[in-house]
Amino acid sequence: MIRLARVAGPLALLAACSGPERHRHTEAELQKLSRLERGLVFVERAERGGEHPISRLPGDTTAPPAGGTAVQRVADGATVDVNSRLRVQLDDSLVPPASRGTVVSSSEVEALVADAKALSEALAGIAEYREAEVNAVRLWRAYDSTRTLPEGDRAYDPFKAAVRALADREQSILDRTLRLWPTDSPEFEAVDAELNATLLGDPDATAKFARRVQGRLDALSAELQSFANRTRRRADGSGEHLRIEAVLIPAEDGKKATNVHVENYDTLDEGSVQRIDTLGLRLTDSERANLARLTVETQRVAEALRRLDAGEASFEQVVAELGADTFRGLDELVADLRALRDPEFPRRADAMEQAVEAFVRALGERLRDFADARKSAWTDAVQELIASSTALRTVAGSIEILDGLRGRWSAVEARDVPALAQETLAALKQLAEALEDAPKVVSEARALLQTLQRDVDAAPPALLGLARETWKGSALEREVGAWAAWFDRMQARAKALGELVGFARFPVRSDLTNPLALSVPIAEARDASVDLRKTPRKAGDHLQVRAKLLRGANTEDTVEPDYVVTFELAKLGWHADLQPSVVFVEGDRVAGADDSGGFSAALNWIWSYGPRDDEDDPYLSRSLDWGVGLHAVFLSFGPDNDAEIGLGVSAGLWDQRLQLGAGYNPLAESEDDGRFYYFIGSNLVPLLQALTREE
Amino acid sequence: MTILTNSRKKLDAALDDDETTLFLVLDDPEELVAEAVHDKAEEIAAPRPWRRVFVVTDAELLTDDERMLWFDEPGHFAVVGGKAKVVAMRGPLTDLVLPNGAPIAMKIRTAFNLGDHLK
Repeated sequence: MIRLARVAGPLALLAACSGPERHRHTEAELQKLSRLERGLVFVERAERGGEHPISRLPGDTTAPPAGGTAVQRVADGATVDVNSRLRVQLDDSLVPPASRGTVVSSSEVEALVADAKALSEALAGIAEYREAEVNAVRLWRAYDSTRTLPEGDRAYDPFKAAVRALADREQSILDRTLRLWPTDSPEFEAVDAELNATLLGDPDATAKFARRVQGRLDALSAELQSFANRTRRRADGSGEHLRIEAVLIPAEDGKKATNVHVENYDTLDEGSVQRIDTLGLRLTDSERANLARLTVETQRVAEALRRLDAGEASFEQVVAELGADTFRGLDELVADLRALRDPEFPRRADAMEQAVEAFVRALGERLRDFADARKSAWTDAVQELIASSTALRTVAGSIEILDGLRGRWSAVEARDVPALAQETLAALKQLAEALEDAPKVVSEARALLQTLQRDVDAAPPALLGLARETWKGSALEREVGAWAAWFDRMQARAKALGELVGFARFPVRSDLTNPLALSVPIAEARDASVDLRKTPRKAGDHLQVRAKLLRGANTEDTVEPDYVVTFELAKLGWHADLQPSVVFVEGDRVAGADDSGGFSAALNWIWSYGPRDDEDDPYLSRSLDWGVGLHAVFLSFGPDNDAEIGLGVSAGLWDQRLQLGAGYNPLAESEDDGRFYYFIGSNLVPLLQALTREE
Repeated sequence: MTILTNSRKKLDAALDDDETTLFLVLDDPEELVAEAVHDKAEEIAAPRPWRRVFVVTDAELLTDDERMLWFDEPGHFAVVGGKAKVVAMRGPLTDLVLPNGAPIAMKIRTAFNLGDHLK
């Protein structure tokens, strides 16, 4: 038990964090929002039908309440349920209400015009309907009078044929009427009464209904004409256009992001519904692969900790073993940071500038005019990149702190772990925050690479071969690529470390674009939605929605910066999950052993409650993030060390970062053979993954 | 319209007739829509003598199979037709009314038409 308490310190330290609340706009911030930020309103439609506003809802007032400050939730960073549907509503400020919600497809209007014409003709020939009904009644009488006679059977078929023809004729009228006036149409009740009276033979109602149909036909014809006009305008490509794209970003590898279908805004396949089981037992392919990976890594962690406990390895060796990438990642980060401060940075900057000169010279020797025309733009872009990179050099000051901490970790004593862990966390957090500008540098380097590549490809056809030959393998290509990789690596490390430190939430972003996305004229834009159930998602993944306000249909030129919102996918409400964890397990009584404790891997089936962002803190689930459930754990109590499996209950805090459990070993021969056991543990594998992740 | 209270003799006779299309309502005393729907169904059925409307006030009059095939619970309707009296359409009566409780003639006619189509 004493040893359990000793292990609890570092584990509790890892555990004592919980997610920050989502940011809300102040009134001042609200005034600075872009049109897209104001105009797109996100709503989560839960699987059971309830709607949960994620950001402001249309019609909400922005005026501050008496004595208070008006706040509106920011959509970015919100959590949505894995089985929900995300709706993007267009606010009046973005799309005029008059043009929203109307039929936008000319083919739909054409179909309705055809319905109205056919209905009008049917009403003009309503006498034929009357005759068909009279004929069916006559045939019924003929059948009814002979049904008990031998000729009765012969009379049945003509009667039935007449009844079916009558039903078809009537149903055709009903179907067309229902398409022209759906049940939620304001006129529906009057239409229903008039049509019913018409079919019952009321001449006044027939005349009235015929006039109503003609009125609808005239209105639809006008709408069709309006469409033709709009289509002409659209063909011109003028006017603002809205494009909305969505990307699913897997938790384990952001580079494997995929486009997902946005209703009304792309032509991607919709996909089929695949529900994520709230009991956590029927796993999707993606969930199963993730659980298998976590389980293997948990076993590795447990084995490494067991060796540490047995004195077979030092702390640093164990951590290095847990992921060779861990220390290599830190070493790389330190080396990269050092390069920002040391002569390495000017050297790289010089090399880049020289590479530009060399490239222009090499190209100029062969294609002088082409190179001269672009030299100035290329040089400016390189200078801009170097300037942005220089700004990052200020973070190099963290190097001494990190270097010092690495040295202290290598000789750490168990009693120093909590304090050292805290210092390391603080230093890493500071560093991760300082490196927030790294993405800008990376994107600039990538943009430069793309510009150069595009310029080369845009060379006159007769010169293209020469231009490509000069570019390929040039020092400039190498330097720009290395520059991008250099900062990309730092950014990835900083981000991974940032996630580790206090579960900081760093923005997840993807540059993936959707080639099948549509640009919709802003006046005809409709609400969008993403059905998460039709995506290959799992809890922990992210959904990114990018909205663009384009100046025209055939341009990438935007009116304002893109509005990018990233949602975290999670299981919300009551749910269960299978989770592996590393535990320090000790038998209650083990005869012949002074110390029966040891590290092991457990698999837990944990019930917990995921609160929505608009909920307070139900069941203390936000502050404690607790869960309870069942577990199975590998047991290996001394002195025989036979591998056995125990079953029991476990409870955890902070998403199982800290876990306590007790159970029963069915294979134990007696109570002195470790029949009852208890453990303390943590699902720290995701934390280690965060540290070693390659972004 | 025939209201079945303590005998199913008329229902059995109608079920035995090959040509009939039956609009059946399992009454729900707590629901006001039933009366409005079966009155409208009666109005629609009137010009066509092969169409009949039955209101069952006591579910005990029905066999287990009939209860299972026709109704989920009181306040539901079913339209059966053809020689075998196959179910053409069934559901809650609320499917046949507007939010204000007014019966929708077009939907009742559609249900009858489906029943008439069965051979």
